[in-house]
Amino acid sequence: MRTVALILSSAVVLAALWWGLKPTTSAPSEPQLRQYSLAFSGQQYQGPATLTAYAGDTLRLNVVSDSDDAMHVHGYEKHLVLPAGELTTLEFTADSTGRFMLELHGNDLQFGTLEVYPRQ
Amino acid sequence: MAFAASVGSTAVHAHSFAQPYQLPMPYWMYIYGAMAALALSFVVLAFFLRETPNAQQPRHLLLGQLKMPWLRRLFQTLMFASIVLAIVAGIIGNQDSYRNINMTYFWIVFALGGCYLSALVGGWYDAVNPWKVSVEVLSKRWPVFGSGYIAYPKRLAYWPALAQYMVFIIIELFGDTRPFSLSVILLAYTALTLLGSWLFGSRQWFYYADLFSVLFRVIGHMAPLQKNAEQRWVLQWPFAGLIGQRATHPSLLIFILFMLSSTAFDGLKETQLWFNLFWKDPWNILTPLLGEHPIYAYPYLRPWFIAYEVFWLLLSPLLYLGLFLGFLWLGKTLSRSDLPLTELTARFSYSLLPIALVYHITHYYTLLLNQGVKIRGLISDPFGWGWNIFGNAITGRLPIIPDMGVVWDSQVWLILIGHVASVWLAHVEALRCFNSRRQATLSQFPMLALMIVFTGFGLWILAQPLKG
Repeated sequence: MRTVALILSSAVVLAALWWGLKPTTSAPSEPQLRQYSLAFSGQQYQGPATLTAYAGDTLRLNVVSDSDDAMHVHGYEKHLVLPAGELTTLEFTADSTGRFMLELHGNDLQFGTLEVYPRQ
Repeated sequence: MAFAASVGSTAVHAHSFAQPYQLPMPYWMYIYGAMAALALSFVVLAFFLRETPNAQQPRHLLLGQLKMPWLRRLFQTLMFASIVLAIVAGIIGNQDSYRNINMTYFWIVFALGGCYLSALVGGWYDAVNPWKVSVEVLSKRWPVFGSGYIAYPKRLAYWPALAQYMVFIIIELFGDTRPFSLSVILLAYTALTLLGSWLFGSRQWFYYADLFSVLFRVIGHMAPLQKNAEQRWVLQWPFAGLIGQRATHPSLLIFILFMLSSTAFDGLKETQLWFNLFWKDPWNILTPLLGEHPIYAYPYLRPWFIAYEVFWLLLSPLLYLGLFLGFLWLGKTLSRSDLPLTELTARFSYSLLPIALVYHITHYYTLLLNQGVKIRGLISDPFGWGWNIFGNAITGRLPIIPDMGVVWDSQVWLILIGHVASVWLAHVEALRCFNSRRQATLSQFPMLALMIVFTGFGLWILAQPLKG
């Protein structure tokens, strides 16, 4: 009897807290196109340190480098060859949620992160 | 600003191998977890208010003995072969950590998977430990490996295992290992194990001094399926095997606390807060010493930063020990217990293990999903030479990434389960220690507060913004 009371009271406490604390979602209801511009000059990165998206969004990364290089989005395993001085675009759907490293292969520079949040 | 961001990023080697891909837990879930831990603690406290001292005995179902020696030999052979393969692959194979089987096998399958398997099936490692099996084979030809050259000094206790554990975590967090260096480390570990067994005898060495034997055995006490003293398999409630366990030596207590503190440290070191405390010099300590802001001194300051992090890692179990002793002393004072503090420390230390286990699981379990499952493909091409023995070799690195909503939910629930288990076990232990219900309850208020601190800290780390 005491065990049943323990389980019931625990469930009530947990459910009440969940109901009271869970906020309404702040994510847009529909997937969006999110564009970011990234530039590399003399091994220096110019652009946002964190690229943010919600699950299902389309990401368009416009990248330019002043030397031949390649960029890697970890987790998504997207690789983008960057010919010197050319604007190159990488577009993909952010279908996996999480935090993914962005790396410039030339000097193993981990220059930023992509954060993809769940929509709800 | 961009420079600072780049420095922050390149300063990070999250782990020796593989990325957890985890986002910080939403702030409201952290608050929820902390409040739920507090509320559930009092529910457990209320449950025990009418409990009779010494009434709580672990219940179990006796399953009997498994009489299949061939099965044990099969698993021993598989374990031995996989360790040999890992060492050889690291030496002669592809040095891409994701293409060579040894990194995934050792860091993910063996070290992580071994912990979680121990939490389900206690004693599995003792039965199939490949190093122990090797020593047993050697001892048939050279009996000194079994009996030892000298007696194991009592003063050594579990200190060698703790020292290996600390080195293991330092290598994991700062080592930046590659397949070849991992093989060298495994060979060094093998040499140490053989030397220890030759010197002190295999029984003593594997009981007290060997890292993985001690680690997996300690975790194995929590398993629902394990062997009893008569070598019979028993099925019991998870964590029930911890009831009545004692940390027989301070070195074992610090080993347990290091399980807790090293995981917390690993989480903390990935946060913006930890990064900024050093590199942004908020109290203006480093800037006058260096003559410039530390972020601009990055190239020559980085080795010092690693030394600073190692220092805090090694100090962390002592900080936890201070908290543990302080709260135990409070419990002893409140309950007016005659038991010495050392006795209470020995009796209550195992009740921290559920919190340590769930810390570990919440921090690392996604690695089993996004990297551990790749072991299937790596078996087809263990050296990373482009083979495809079983037709399922890995052709790319695409990981399995669990949904973050599921990860966050599981983190909160696991931490709450660990917290309730720890609070419960401490109460059971208190009822075994003290003669009166009142004494037991009074002693548990500080323990309950300590566990809320540990649980809250674990959740807080999971909710912290991560560095760049």
